[in-house]
Amino acid sequence: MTTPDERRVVVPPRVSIPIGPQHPALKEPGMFRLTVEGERIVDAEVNIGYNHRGIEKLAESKTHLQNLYLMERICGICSATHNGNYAQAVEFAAEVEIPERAKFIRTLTWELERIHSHILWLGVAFHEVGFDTAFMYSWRDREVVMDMLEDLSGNRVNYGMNTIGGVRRDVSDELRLRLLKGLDKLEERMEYYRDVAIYEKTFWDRVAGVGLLETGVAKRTGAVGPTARGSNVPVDVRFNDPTQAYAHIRDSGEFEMVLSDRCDVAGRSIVRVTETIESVRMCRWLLNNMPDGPIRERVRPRIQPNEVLARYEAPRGECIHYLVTNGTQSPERIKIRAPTHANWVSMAHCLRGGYIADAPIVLAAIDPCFSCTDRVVIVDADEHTLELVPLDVLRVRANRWYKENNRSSD
Amino acid sequence: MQAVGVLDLAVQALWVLVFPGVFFITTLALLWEWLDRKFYARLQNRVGPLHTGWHGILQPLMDFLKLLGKEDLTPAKADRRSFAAVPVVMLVISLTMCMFLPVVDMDPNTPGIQGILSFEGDLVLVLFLSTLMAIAIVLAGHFSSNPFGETGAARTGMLLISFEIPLILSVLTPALLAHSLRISTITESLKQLQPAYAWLMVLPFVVYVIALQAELERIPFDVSHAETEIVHGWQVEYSGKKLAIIHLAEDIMLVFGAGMVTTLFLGGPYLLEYIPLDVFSAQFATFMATSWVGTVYYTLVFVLKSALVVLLLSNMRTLFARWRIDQIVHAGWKVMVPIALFNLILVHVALTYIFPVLGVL
Amino acid sequence: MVRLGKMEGELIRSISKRPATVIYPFTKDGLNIPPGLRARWSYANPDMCTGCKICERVCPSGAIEMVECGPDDVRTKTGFRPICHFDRCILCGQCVESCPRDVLRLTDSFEMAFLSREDMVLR
Repeated sequence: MTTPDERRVVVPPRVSIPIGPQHPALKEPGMFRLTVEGERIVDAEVNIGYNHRGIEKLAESKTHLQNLYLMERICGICSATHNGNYAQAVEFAAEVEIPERAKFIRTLTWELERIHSHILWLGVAFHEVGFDTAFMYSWRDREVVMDMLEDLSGNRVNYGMNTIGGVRRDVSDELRLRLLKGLDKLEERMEYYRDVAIYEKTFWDRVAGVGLLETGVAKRTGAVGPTARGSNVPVDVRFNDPTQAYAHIRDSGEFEMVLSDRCDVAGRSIVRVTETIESVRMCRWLLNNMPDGPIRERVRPRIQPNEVLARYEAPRGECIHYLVTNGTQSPERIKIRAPTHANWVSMAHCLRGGYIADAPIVLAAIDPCFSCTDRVVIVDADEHTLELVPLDVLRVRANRWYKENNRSSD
Repeated sequence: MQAVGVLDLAVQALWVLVFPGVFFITTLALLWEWLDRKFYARLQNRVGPLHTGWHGILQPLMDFLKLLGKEDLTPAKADRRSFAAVPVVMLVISLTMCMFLPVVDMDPNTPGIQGILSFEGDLVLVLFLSTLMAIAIVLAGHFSSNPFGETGAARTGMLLISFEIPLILSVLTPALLAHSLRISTITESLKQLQPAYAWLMVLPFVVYVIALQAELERIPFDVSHAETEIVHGWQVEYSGKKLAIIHLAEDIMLVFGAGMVTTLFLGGPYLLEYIPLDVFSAQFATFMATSWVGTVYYTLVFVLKSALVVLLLSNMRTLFARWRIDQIVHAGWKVMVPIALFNLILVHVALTYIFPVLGVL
Repeated sequence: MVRLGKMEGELIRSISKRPATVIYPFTKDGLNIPPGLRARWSYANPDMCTGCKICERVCPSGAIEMVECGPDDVRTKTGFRPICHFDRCILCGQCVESCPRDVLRLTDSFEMAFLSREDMVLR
């Protein structure tokens, strides 16, 4: 018999399990150091920066027209996002208005891309929890929208639809009919996923109540996109601050923001699947209400000095392009804030307290895109050092730099 | 006398090594893997193995041979000898287990069909061996001294404690009905029971198939080598020959599992004997027991029935997502064990009170 | 509602369905190649080319190089013609779009494997 003061709570030893930089659950390199007690995660450390490519710097040495294609290659999934958003940013800077039809076609590409991105995410989510059948089905159905995009733009992945001042390809009547047919098929399949596939008990057990991100935390950590909407935070640039044809879509009153108050991975799944159906309906609306007219406006290659911020609701959340032009053909500075970057902050919170088995699906639930996000590696070529800079250190350094080099003085 | 002894030994060796022993079981194992993969792919609207042999039927063999030729690595921190021993142990255990499956009549003097090994109480030994298999897996994960491997090993242990009990409990029902713990006797006497007894077998059949899926570590119970979570768990450090042998052992486990379902619940290698005609009960059995036709017939029936079980297991694998380990333990102890216990009570009540009253006994 | 085995019906239906897999190198059925595919670069109308070098200037990846016309080439006005270093080409089609005289094309032949870098210089 032990006395109370002799009794000890025996906790399992803490083991640190690395997920990444190479791990089957991750499609791109990233590092998550999980500290586990048995199967429980007690601490999580998110460490990214393995995929930095220096795109922002490279963009400063290229013309705006060339940058369109460079931006497209930031991310394979949201290629139209970065491409369109950059085109939009340059148009804002040049202060030109593009033709209505161009706006509709650009929005159509964006929405088709959202469909393909969300179905891709759904497949990945199924795969992460070992539901390979639904993974195969959803990626098979994704081929429909991939083929539609290829038909529309001439390429499956890097669509290159946008140019500065409009779009590059028109939608002919035959193409419109083909697209409408594809949309019908997609809607039918997505309704199947919404009503049947995600309610398979083994899948639902893995996502319900997992990776909780309460509304307050989501707001505080600045989550965006389906991650935030799955936590009942109404942020969606398409409705809050519409550009292009989204203004017409919002004004038509037929569409509304998809929200879920579940706050877990299941909520994010529901938001994404429902949003896909909403996107299919938006595409149909766009095709049916497309105005006639030219598809592009000529824009001078030299853009006057300006400073603009272009926002767009990428499939993963709000994507921001901050562009400073200087009167030449090239940007003075382009800063890209990809949606994943905003969602990282809440990741450690989502992981903590969960099971190690849930880590892949929680990670996947924000639809992370590392190559979109990685911006901060400092490589010193003279000293041959490579330094990975955490966000807070970077912030401190940035503040110090701005204090020393006051902007208003120059 | 000496010559007869040698001949006898040669025949015995042929039984053990070729048919229905090692060679037959290994072939069947590769065939089941192909069937499993092909059906899994077709259910997913894919084509599956396609190019090696007829509809890719040789693909598992090719994969095995390919793995044999791959570089074999042993982690520096691993216990070298134990690490290398585990695949061999797994292969031996799984092959030994298959020796107990009654496929053809090995001993014409005793009634019924026996496996190569058959004695009173072999059911218990087989159950013990299948537990030993799980323990070998735990050791495999432990010896590889890798966090993923150790997590996988821990999960295998959890699976073991949650699904071994329902597995054993569900096997008890046929044993109770046959009043025997000898596999061949169980098959033989189940054949002679009234059709009404089939109802008692439904629940243990379901429990056994689900527990078997856990035993084989397939979806939804594949936590111990979940690819996206712990990178194939306990197998993570194995490569080359060792991995090939592990895969083969797993396939042989599938043969054993499907074979046990066939033997204990689906009536073993008997098919026509179930037709209630006098021809099939007396002369047919004698003919089959004495002629070579019997060997072919029994083998075919056994293979066909096992194939059906494999298809059922593949369908289960396709239908579900992977459960988390806590959900599996929950399902094992709060659902499967009570069902299995309830079933035992049901069998007892039916045998002692209901069936005598109804006059089926 | 949430229950076990919700997709069984779909699975059973899939058995009799044609597989979605396209056995690509053996057959091209089901690849759905659209008419406007942007694939292999080609110097389609040499007669029209003036050698103005716009394509070289706009190319985002520096794939197009202007070289002096060889003896077999059609003589352009400036004496230069474009060649494409296809290993750098990103198939954006900007050169086609910027060309004032419809000289370049992106054809729809999409099988673009080469054995060496020298083979990848398209003339």
